[in-house]
Amino acid sequence: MARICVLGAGVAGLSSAVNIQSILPEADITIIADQFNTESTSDGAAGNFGILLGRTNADICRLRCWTRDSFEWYHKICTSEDANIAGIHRTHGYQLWRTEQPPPFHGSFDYGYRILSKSELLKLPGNYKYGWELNTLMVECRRYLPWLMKRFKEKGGKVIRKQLKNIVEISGSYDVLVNCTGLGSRKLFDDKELVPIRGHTIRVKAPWIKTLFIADSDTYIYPGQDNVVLGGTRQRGEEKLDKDQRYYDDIMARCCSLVPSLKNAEVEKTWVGLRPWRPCVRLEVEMISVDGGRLPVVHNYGHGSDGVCISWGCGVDAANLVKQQLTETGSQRLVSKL
Amino acid sequence: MCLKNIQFGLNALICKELTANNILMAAREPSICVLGAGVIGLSSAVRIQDKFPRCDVTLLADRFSPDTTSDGSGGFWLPHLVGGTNQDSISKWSASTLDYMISLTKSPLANQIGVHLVSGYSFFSEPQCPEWRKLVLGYREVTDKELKLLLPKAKFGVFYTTVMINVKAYLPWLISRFKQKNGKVIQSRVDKIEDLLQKYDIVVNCTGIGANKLANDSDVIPIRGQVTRVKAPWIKHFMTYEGSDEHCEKYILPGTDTVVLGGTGQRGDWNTQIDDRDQQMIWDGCLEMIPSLKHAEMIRHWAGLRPHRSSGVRIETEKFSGGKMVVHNYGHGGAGVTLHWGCAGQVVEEIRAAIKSTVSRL
Repeated sequence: MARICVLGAGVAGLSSAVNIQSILPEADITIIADQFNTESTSDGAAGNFGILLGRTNADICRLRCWTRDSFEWYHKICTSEDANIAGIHRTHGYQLWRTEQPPPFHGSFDYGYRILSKSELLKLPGNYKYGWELNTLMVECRRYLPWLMKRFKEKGGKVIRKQLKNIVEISGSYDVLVNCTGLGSRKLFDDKELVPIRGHTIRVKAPWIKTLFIADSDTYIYPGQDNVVLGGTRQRGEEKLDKDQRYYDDIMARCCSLVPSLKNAEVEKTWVGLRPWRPCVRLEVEMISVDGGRLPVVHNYGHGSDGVCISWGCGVDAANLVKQQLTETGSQRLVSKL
Repeated sequence: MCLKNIQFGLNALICKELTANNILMAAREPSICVLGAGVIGLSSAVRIQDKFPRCDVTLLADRFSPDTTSDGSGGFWLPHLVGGTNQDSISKWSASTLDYMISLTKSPLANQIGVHLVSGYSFFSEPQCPEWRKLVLGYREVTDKELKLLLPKAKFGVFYTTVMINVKAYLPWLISRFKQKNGKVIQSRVDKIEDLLQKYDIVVNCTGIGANKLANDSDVIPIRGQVTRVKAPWIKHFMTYEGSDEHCEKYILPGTDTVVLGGTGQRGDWNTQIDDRDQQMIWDGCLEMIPSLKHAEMIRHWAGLRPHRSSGVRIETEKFSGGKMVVHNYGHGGAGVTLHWGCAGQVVEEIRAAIKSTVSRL
């Protein structure tokens, strides 16, 4: 029986683990992580399904597959009985720009987008010259991660809470590793290409807000199930996680200029986190040398701002790579044992 | 000849007295009583105050928020069940109301006022071309993909953005506006509108279904509507389905704190008790559209009487002796919330015209 270890229990790790279980039901799968649920970076993400090309980089073909597979999955859940338990719901609203833009990448995959007319733009807040009406979804990790974890455990998946300093601590115990450690790969796999991009969000109680707004890509209002997520910031290379009030004040001011009634919304909590950005999403196999042998590592990290959005599709891809590795190396191991 | 002169003199005297009353009325500001404190009555009272700041305006009703018909309604802007009201009036009044509501959504006090933008889908079993498509925001037909993904049984659908009112917040906001400008509020039952004319110069009749008795208008008949309110905060869109196979349109409307599931449309049914079969039908119909409603927490059920008038909304001035008048504003059917602000504006025009013609006859 193949022994698989998924490193990381954020949305990438859980999506990979659940997908692996689905195509390798006999495999022994363990998730090892030091951060779960509200401790994870994923938990802070708003979870809006939307991608801006240029922000997330990957081979365009693969990005299409990840986006398409992810949306199909989220749509299936959000039109099922489980929608609210899994934390996925449909959203609608407007994305506003100062200048004309090429069509949104996700527009061909979600429920659809529409270019706003000049008269519509005049009625909308701000003096934006260009914009889209969006129909999409929101995947809220506060509920989605526990929902995935429950599925994983129900099918016999194991979980170990542990902070790994080095891969050699566990490399002898597994046949394949799946690395979903986000920024953790800087230390664990010596990845110098990873750059943290710090982000701040505010969650407010504003149940009368049903419409999403995104302006200039950096100011956003996402109506979640329990609260409305306001953002944000995009601070490349910043790593300190102290909650600087100036950033929150600035976010609030920008969001209130779009939707004035937010001024009276009760603030529930503020958050700061680091997007694990990489010049290219790393979703590939690396053979590493351990104990005189070779251990396949399926990397699935560096998703930047779009980790939640493409998580399911990446998990499907990662699971396929794992299966491929086991099929290739499995026979080799059998031979070497003879 | 002498008799003729006396007759002439008598007539002149009567005319003089009438004229004197009119002069008196013109000399002081008319006192106005708005009868009814639902969305129609309150908006009329507020707009009358705005237009005639020197008039004494009194609001008189036996029921106030949260016990009015308006309070139970979904609060969704959409012209429907308006009987024979002429289309131009529907368009004018509903457009005026929608514009006003949209402007309120941009206020920092939008939540206290109780208005919010809401978008969503209306599905049908056959293609539609409603008049109101020109009035709502961003109206478009759904794509085949959306139809397939969201409600495969439907043959046609539209997507648009409109406004929803949290009536239980909106009515108190209107009342507080009314009181801030020294409006008087009286809780009382009235059996005859004419009785009020002894005390007030102008009565604005906003009694909704009550007009059947009070205005002796048998054309006002209830169209009963039942709804269920649930807690389902993950639902951000509205969704409605009107099928030829369906007993009545089914709808899911996301309000501020609760989601309204409906509905029924039983003509001539005066029953305001909850009907279990209606409840089940609403539940089944809505669950089919959004399965996750299964987990929604039930809050309450309600049944109310849409004040439908087959000949349409009645906004009309009825003149009485002594320069007194009753301005009727009732019969809005299922579109009270949708038409209220525009109709209140029409009432203001009626009053202005009536006062002007009274003065000009002097």
